[in-house]
Amino acid sequence: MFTTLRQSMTWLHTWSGVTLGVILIVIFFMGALSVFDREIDRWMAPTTRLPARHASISLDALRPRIDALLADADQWRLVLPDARAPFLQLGFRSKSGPRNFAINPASGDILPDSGTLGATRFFYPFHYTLLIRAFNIGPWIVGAAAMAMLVLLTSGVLIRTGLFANFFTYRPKGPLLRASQDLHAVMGVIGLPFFFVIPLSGLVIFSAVYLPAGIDAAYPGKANVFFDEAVGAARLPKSGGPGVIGSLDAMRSSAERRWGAEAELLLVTNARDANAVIEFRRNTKDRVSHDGEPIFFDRAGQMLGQGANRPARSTLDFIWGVHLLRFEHWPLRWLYFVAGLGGCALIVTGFVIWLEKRKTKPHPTGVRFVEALLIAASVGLVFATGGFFVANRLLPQDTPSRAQWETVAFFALWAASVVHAGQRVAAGQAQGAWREQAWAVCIMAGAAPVLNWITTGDHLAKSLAQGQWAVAGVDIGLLAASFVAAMAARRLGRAGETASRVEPQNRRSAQVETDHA
Amino acid sequence: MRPEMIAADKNKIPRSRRTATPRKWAIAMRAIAAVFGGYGFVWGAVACLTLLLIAIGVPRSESVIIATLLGFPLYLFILLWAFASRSLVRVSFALIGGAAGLIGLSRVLRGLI
Amino acid sequence: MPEILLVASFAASLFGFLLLALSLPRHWRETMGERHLPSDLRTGLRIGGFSFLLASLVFAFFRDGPAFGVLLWTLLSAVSALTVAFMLAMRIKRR
Repeated sequence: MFTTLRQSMTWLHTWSGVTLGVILIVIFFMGALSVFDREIDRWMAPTTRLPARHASISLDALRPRIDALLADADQWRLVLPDARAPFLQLGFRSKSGPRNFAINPASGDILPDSGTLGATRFFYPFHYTLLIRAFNIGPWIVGAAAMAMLVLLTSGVLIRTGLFANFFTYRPKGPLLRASQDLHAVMGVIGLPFFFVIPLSGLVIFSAVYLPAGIDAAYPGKANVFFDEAVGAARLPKSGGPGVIGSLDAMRSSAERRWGAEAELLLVTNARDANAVIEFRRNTKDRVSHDGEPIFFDRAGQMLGQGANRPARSTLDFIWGVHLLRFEHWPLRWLYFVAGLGGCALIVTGFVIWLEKRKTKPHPTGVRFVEALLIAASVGLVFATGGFFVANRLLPQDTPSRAQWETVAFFALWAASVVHAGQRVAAGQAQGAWREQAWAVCIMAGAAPVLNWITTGDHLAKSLAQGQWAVAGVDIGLLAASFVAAMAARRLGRAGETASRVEPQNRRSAQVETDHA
Repeated sequence: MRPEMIAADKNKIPRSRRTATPRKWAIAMRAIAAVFGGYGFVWGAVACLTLLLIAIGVPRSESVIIATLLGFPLYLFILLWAFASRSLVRVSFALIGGAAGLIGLSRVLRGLI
Repeated sequence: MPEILLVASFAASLFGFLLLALSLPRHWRETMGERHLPSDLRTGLRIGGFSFLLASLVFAFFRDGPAFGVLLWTLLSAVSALTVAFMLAMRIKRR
């Protein structure tokens, strides 16, 4: 097909980028937001802005309330409070579908439905499913994009000449094409370890979906057995006879003594059976590895077993941990966030290079289509996200199916961005589309903290003074986004003026070029 | 890459081996062979490696994890190789044939273990 | 103490990348004028640059241990290298 390695790798880099780049931007952006998912949740669900409690709560005291909610559920899980999510989360599957409740650890009361999906149930699943769950289509698209990211990085390194001679070269004052090329190369090389490890670990996390070849070969038709064996899970068959679970507090303290760490999660299977199994997992906030070291008890509190700790499994847990960052390490959390946004910038600059190279000729339809798509996927996505925050504060708390309306607002604004970008680009005013949408981001992101102040009374000075870091952090992030968008819009305005002054000449020379060709 | 470099590369190569812009069907064939043939190849290789590891005494669940972890870098290598290789025929045969062979072999191995 | 080590790690990697950037003929020319970069100075700058990067890694290890340390160092280096690239760009703009 191609005569040299460089030619073939250039082709591969260009076209895997153009086809899957837009999806990669969305994945990187939603991933970056998911880094602060719990904090965004606190901002979006003001009823959960509870003070963090240090004393551990009695599970046995909560049992009557939990049992009343469970009714006849056979399996349930309880996430214990921590500094980032200061309440208990009860989840189970009832006859009418999955149910989730948040419980105030101080009073044992059920917190009112927050009426929002927040970040943990909107941005986070968006990151790895694109919210397309039918037939696992979304996860497969994300997997293809992750694989494309690995291909893009490797082919990018192979075609890049002067990788080290130009390691730090960035010339923002020059033409847009050269500045983008510099920035694209600098960020790609500098961020290479992060940009490589993140998609790879993401693929590994979903390997049971993407590549179940090994499971299929070693455990044909019995994937569950693999998962149990891999973690060293203890299971009991259902006896059929009824049973009542003993003291959960006793089991928890026995598990915590073994770990020397606090419990994070408890899972109950065969809940109403004499052979109930209670699994405790420790929190992993002091370590990278996502290894909960599960401990299993029967209903009387007798230990059934402890998770196995084998080398490959431990490696896998470490890879999970690197991607999921369940640890408590604020500098790293911020760096992940910045690096995630850097991933978006890397791909956007890649697109700008592709577009600029094709703009000397009269724009073919394909190029316009890609530019409109890029505008909607970058600024448009930020605009829709800002709109999600605004909708969260504007919708009255008692709106029926409030969470759905927030989602509708997000997608309606995103669709509006697509239409606007498409229409402006088709009219040959791509620069205008970029500028106007940047102003729209500025307004949305700036409005959200103000609305937060009006609706909850937690203005920035107050949340900072009270040590409400989650609320303050999200406010600051939104204000920063608004400021950056304003700067970008102003710069685009200035660049637009110079461009329009130069453009007639350019167009003439482009015409001459095509005439010659 | 800068266009003048492609030109320079082209000039070094004898006229007889120079190729024009690849035809659409050739690209489509190569992409299909790389993405789907390559996936089948990786599937077969992971299955075979899992069973071989079990055969030499590695615990079953550990064998699955080791082989699966190696599968993703292998797929990356195959995708790059499929586009770097000159011959479309070689790529198609190696990947589609290799996939069939390895998956078949894994079935045989599964019967033995 | 952890915050001091964090700042030290970042500062060391920033300085290390600055030295490495200066060891590249193009950036030496742009920042120091048109002068030629002598080869023993270049070697010195490279050794100095890599030593500071190593020091940065050591600080990160002392702060967080090997697992968190490697992650922290990788991401801090990315930020500091990008900072150096921007600093060099600003410097050219001003001249």
